[in-house]
Amino acid sequence: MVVKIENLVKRYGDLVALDHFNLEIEEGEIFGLLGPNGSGKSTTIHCLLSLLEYDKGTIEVFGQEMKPNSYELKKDIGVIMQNVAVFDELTVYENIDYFCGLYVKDRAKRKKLVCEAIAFVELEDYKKFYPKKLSGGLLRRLNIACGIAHKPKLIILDEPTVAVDPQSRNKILEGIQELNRQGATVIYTSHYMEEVEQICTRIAIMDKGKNVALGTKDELKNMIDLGETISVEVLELTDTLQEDIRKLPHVMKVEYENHLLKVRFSKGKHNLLRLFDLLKEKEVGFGGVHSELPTLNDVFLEITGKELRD
Amino acid sequence: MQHFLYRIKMTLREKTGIFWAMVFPVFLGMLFYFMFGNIGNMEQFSNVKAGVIKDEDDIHKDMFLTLLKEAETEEGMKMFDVREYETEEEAAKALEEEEIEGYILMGDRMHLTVTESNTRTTLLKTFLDQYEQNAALITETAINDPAKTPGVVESLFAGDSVSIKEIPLKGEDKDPYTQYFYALISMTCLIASMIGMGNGIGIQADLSSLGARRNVAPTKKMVQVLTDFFASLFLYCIMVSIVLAIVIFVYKQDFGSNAGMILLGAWAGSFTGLAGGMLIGVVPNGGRAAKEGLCVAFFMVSSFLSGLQWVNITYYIEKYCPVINRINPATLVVNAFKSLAVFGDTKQYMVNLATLLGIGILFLFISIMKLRRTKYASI
Repeated sequence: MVVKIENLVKRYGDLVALDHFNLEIEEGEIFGLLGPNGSGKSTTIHCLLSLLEYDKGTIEVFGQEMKPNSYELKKDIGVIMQNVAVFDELTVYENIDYFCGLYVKDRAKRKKLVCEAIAFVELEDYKKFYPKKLSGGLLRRLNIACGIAHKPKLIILDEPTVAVDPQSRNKILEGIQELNRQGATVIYTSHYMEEVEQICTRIAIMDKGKNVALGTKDELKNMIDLGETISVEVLELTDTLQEDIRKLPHVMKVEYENHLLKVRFSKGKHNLLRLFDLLKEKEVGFGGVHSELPTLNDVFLEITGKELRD
Repeated sequence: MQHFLYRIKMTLREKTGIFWAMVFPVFLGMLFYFMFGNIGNMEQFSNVKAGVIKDEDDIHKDMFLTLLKEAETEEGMKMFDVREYETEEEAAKALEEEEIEGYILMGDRMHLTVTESNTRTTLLKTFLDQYEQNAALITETAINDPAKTPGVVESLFAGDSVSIKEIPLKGEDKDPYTQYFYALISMTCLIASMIGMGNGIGIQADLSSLGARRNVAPTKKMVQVLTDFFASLFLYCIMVSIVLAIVIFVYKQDFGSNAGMILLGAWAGSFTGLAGGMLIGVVPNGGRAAKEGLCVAFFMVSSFLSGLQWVNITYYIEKYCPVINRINPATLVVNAFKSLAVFGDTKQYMVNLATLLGIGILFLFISIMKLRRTKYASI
């Protein structure tokens, strides 16, 4: 077990940020902590790193209790915080070297690690650049390099892709998967469900400081009734026809807005065919058709009654 | 060592810090230099025109007048140009017409009247104070142990530490404007507080992302804090030495001849300034902007009280609230320089230096204790 959190409670005055939160993370996982802003993801990470004092509970990392002075444990942990944390007065190379130096004292070894980290985040051409000269995406990559240069066994990334362009985001996500392939266990927090779905092997969904669902993405999707959502472009749809659609098997919800018909089906077969047959029978012309499988947002919606990005 | 060097690099590349630590004091020094830097060179010391209203009943009047007339500077120049008046009205009129700079009314309790408190009239007051102290000592000895009176009189007027002749201008510097440069250097020392404050903020997880990142690293917090502190101190000592060199060699100000002690005074001031800034960065609640405001207030108020804007303020503080002069870091730096250059008093210099370092150590100790005990409730 790489991380074990039991019964963790953290209060900010009257606000309960973490409410008897439990978590277990195995070696080799890319574990996603998914939840809307304010759900307690960052607080969990800060408690896990002993940055924050908490009211109740226990936290173990690599089988040992995590405390502010657990320096041996800290050597094996790499952290990439939500905000970029680099020195403006140091170049890309110097920043990585500085932070790597907090973990690795041997100069020759550090030099090798710094060069590897620079290559890993593809910042070779920017080694002598100061952070202010880097774009948002490059800055995030530097932030990551500063956190992983010492080759930690556990890497914690707290929303590392906030305000990053799609190209840099993809590079970052690919990088995280590569680090995992190289043997690191990864904890990844985000409120972007697509990212979590794309890279995480197991996911915990958080809301109001609680772990409301836990499993692989397929396990999470199987927890809910929703099977698929079919969207059809329809020029005109009468109320009567909407009623007829509602009577089809497995239909959970029908919406019609801006010439777009959206039908949510529970799990079942031939939903699309039945819908087409009905539209043909009623001689309703239709355009584009799109079928979506349930997303983690749907899981969150069904469990908590609200959207992930609310 | 790696962190030490990187901290120096960071401080050197921080342009705002360099501006405050070097450019600003050098520029301010240049203004001082052009405003009154040459006045001391152009104007030779001229004796202070002092009026005396004799009290015919005062048996000591002749001795007092003789001492006043005989008082000399080290170059053997008469310190006072003494004019005698029969009545106070005559003396007051002469003062009003600026024929004299002050007058002394003799009697049981001597009284000095001046229209303006400045370095010249301070000489007159200091003379009078010393005379009264010595007279009281002689009288007391004469009453309690008459046999020792001749010895006391001899020692008082033979040139030892309480001699009148040694009072004001024993040292090498006689240019009152140099005091502005002492205050300027002391301000430069305290500007180190800006760097100390930055260091203090940069290690706290709840005040900066960098602080959070450094707190999760396996290098002990105290190692990081002290490395930052001593790297900044090392660099700042070099910077303040450069400013001092410019003031001495370019602006031609006299800080005395003991270069080692002058530098030590400036470095001790930088240590206390840096530690003071660290205290501001660590102890009070608030964001960076609020702490920057506190730092500016710290070095500006401290410098003002040491006479940066108005030299005579230290005289009034000494008169009404002397404790401020004993604990104000900027005044301690100024007094350390003055002890060397004006009074040639190494003992007083050491007292100022020890107090200054003591205050700095206290600031640093409180900051470290606060950092050690801090557990973040929120980030």
